[in-house]
Amino acid sequence: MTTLAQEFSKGIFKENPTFRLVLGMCPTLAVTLSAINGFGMGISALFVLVCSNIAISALRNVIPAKVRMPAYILIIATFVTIVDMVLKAYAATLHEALGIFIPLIVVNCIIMGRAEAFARKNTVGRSVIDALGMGIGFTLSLTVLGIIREIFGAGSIFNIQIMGTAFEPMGILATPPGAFITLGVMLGLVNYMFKRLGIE
Amino acid sequence: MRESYKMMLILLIIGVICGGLLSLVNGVTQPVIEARAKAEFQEAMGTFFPDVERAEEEVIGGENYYLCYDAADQFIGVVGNVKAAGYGGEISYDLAVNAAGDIVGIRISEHGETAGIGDVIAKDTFQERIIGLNYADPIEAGVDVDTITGATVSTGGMISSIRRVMNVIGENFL
Amino acid sequence: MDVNLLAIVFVAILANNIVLSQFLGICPYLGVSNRLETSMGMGMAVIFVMTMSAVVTWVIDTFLLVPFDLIYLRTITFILVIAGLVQLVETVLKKTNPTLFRAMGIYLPLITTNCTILGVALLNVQAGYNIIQTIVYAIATGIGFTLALVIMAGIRERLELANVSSYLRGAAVSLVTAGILSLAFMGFKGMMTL
Repeated sequence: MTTLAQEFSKGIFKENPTFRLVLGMCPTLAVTLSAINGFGMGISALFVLVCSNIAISALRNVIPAKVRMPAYILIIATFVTIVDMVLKAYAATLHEALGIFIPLIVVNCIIMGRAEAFARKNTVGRSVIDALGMGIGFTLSLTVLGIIREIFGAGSIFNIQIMGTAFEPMGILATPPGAFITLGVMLGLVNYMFKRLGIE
Repeated sequence: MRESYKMMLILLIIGVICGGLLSLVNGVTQPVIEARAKAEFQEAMGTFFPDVERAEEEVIGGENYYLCYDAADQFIGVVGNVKAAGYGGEISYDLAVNAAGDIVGIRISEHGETAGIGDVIAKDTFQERIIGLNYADPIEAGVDVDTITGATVSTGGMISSIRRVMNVIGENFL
Repeated sequence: MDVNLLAIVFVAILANNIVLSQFLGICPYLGVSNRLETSMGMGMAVIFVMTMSAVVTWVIDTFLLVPFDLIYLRTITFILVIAGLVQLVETVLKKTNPTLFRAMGIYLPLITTNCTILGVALLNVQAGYNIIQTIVYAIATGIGFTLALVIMAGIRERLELANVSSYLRGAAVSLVTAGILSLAFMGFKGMMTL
């Protein structure tokens, strides 16, 4: 039996959804133009992940195995729509920046994956810990990518200009190709780091 | 058979709960969203025409034009909520023209232009070239307004769209 | 809204490619693009399901959600419709056309969680297309997805023989390759706009 601390930390390091499992790539590439967008996306996914994990693990003895997929989709889509509406009402700028990727949290493989692989077999408590770990891991990865692309692509961090006026932004990092290349290089770096640290 | 009825029932119950939850949240957020949209619009009008008291909406060619009046019900100008063809799709913007036919303001509300290149349309360097132009001016790329090197499609698209909008405004409202 | 159909096709396939510039469907893009044959099969299945789901969701949106002021139920309705539709296609195909089923059957379950399908359904109603534009847009987007997938598969078949650093093997080098491809596709931007 894994301890709760292990359950929590696995999502952040060993099974980091972005850098280790390479899941949920679409929002990762699309919204990491700036640190704040990456962070906002991460938090939105974290919220949906925690709520859906709670609901699914609480209902794990009620939902018949045969119809679990449509039931999960219903539950996840409900929380996603709630996030969508709340962001639109109270964080309109972020809502506009994330655009279609908010409703698309529904098909984010991380969320369905955790429901299927974890929440339906575990207690509510463990499922929350699992969701928090995975969600925070996802948020951190997105924020880091956002920071990198924002610093080099726009010379700022969380919208605060830091590079001075002499800095010429590397436009490519702000474009779609830049997203692919940054993520690819980061994946390579993380692989290198893990090998060096002897974690496999 | 009983088994499948039970499944259907459970799915149905989950569906009803989800639907109820959503309409509840929608009831809370919808007024906030509407109020925000209205406040944003009025704020935008206010930046162009600080004296605006009320606005009348007119639709011409699928685009909205707002005729602004001050407290004395004097016509002070028009704000067009219009679109231009850019490099990465449509550019939505507001163009404000006063009663004398001068452009007093421009605000890009939505665009898909390349960051660091075409997005100069949303920056002062480009917008300064536009503000102050009159309905009677040619407003033509290379004649009285210059496009920006490297972003010819974005800025050129904006300039020709502004000419078109100025014609609409001039013929209908001035 | 009147938009030239040719422009929709050009923009959806090249200028605004669903994978390389809109970042939708990255998971199957990385997962299924290692063989030319499988990527063709996946591409066909996506074109088929994408067109059907775009039409069905368009009909539901236009005649149910919009008139009854239920737009906030879009996400939940669309994903349920898509999941049901995929199931239906699978069952029908299995019964009526075993050859076709063998060709794209294994990709169908993967498609429910493929974000291109839901993405296209949502983008399509947001753009306010009519039914003909919807069909053209969905087919063209599917072709764009297939094109990106097939090009990638061709490159990856050769990449396997290349001497890539062990840290970059797999997803990392695929992403960098996709970045270069995306750069090439960026050249189509501005040639034609909607």
